[in-house]
Amino acid sequence: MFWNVMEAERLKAHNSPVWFAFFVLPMIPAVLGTLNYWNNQDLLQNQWQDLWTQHTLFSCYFFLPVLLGVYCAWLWRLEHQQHNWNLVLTMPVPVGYLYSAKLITVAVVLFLTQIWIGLLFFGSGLLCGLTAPFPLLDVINWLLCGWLGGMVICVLQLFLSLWIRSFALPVGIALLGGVAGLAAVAKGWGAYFPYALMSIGMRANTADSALSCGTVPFLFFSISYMLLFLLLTILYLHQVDLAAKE
Amino acid sequence: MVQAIRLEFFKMRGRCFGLLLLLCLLVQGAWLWWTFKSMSHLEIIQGWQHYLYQLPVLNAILLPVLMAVMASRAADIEHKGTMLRQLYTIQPAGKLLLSKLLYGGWYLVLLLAGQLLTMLLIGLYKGFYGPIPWGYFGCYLLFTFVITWCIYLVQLLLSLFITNQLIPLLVGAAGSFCGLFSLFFQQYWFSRLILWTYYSQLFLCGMNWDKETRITEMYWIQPDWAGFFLLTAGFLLTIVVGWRLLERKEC
Repeated sequence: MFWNVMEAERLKAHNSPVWFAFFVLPMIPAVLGTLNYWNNQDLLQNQWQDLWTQHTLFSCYFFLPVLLGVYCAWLWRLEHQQHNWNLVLTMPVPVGYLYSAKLITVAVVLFLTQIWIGLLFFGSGLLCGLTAPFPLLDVINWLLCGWLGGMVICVLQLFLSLWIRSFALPVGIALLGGVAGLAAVAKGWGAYFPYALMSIGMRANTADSALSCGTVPFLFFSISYMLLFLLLTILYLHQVDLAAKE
Repeated sequence: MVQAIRLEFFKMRGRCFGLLLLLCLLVQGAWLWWTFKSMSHLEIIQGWQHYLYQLPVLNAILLPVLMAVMASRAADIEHKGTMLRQLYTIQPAGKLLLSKLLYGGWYLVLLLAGQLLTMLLIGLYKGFYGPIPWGYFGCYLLFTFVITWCIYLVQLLLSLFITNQLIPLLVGAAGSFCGLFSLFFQQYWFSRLILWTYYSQLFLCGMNWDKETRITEMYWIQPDWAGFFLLTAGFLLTIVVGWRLLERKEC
């Protein structure tokens, strides 16, 4: 049964414009970040590390939260349309399966996005003619930590998109959350703020091996927030009459 | 027309337009407060110029996506239950477009009034040097209003034409990207062709940063009226083309 639900999610993703976002949106900061790095090479001496911050600084705070907000809103879009909740709830499928399928789908899409960001970074470095060896292990570390931090935003946005029956409003909240995340990181409270965890994981401010807030707090708050929003979603799915909310 | 606008206000009750703009204003206000909290003497002297340098950057990041969200909320109500088909039998498409445009414009006026109030409150509290540059503030408000209203119009048209609201929102996000990064490319002619870059095109303040002393010096820039009139012409043209296309569109 679960695989059928997964297959349904795959079918919904097929030919969706979300793939346009997947390809095009990460390309914009990559191209513009590379051009900015190219123009300021006399100031930016740390080659791959500086190129990385140029690629990720703005995108982690302002655009990746929006992109993830769009992914999550798109996943609930069909269920929210017209009277589809009636149809969904009368099918012999537990709502838990439905939610799990969406969570796995968004996790996979985010993982692919991270790989795409990594490939763009590598390609940009080659184009810039960087002579230092490519920091492969560091990049994998940054991307994986970014994926974990991004999953916190995804779980939160999946909850918001389930709760708020509008496509656009959760995306607006994601944007404001991303900007507030920048302020939280600047004040040193980044680990406590769900929208800031992705930028901390990606080392958007300084491309170091170590996490700015420490590994244990990062892992603790990432997992705790995920569990919290997961619990809220499960409670919401079981307590609220979804069909009557239409 | 008045009835159509009143109807828009009635339809949008509880759709959180005001709340969204209030949140935006709070984020911008908090950002400015945090930035201006520990200013040097030189920065306080140039405080008003710092404002008019930082606010367009914040607007370029936040407002395109916010306008996409607002336009999507305004248009989505008609898509739900395929209301457009019925609506067009009693209300011309152009009238619907204009009423939604004016509705968005009203909230934009409120947002800019809030921005002005925030600027004045923080500026007077911090004791910025010199008289308030009302002329530049007026130009800033006018330019920001026209740029943002134009973005809202484009997003509204996209949201009315395309049922799947994913695409207009992606355009808004991509526009935010272009707006932010246009700060690095504002001197090139091609940036004149991209609507979202006008936040940086119509800057009223410039910044000189001395690499050796690390001192920032702000200076006034004369308003770029040619750019503004080009934008206004584009705005009017978009209304006419959008109106025509909307009238021809099959529901």
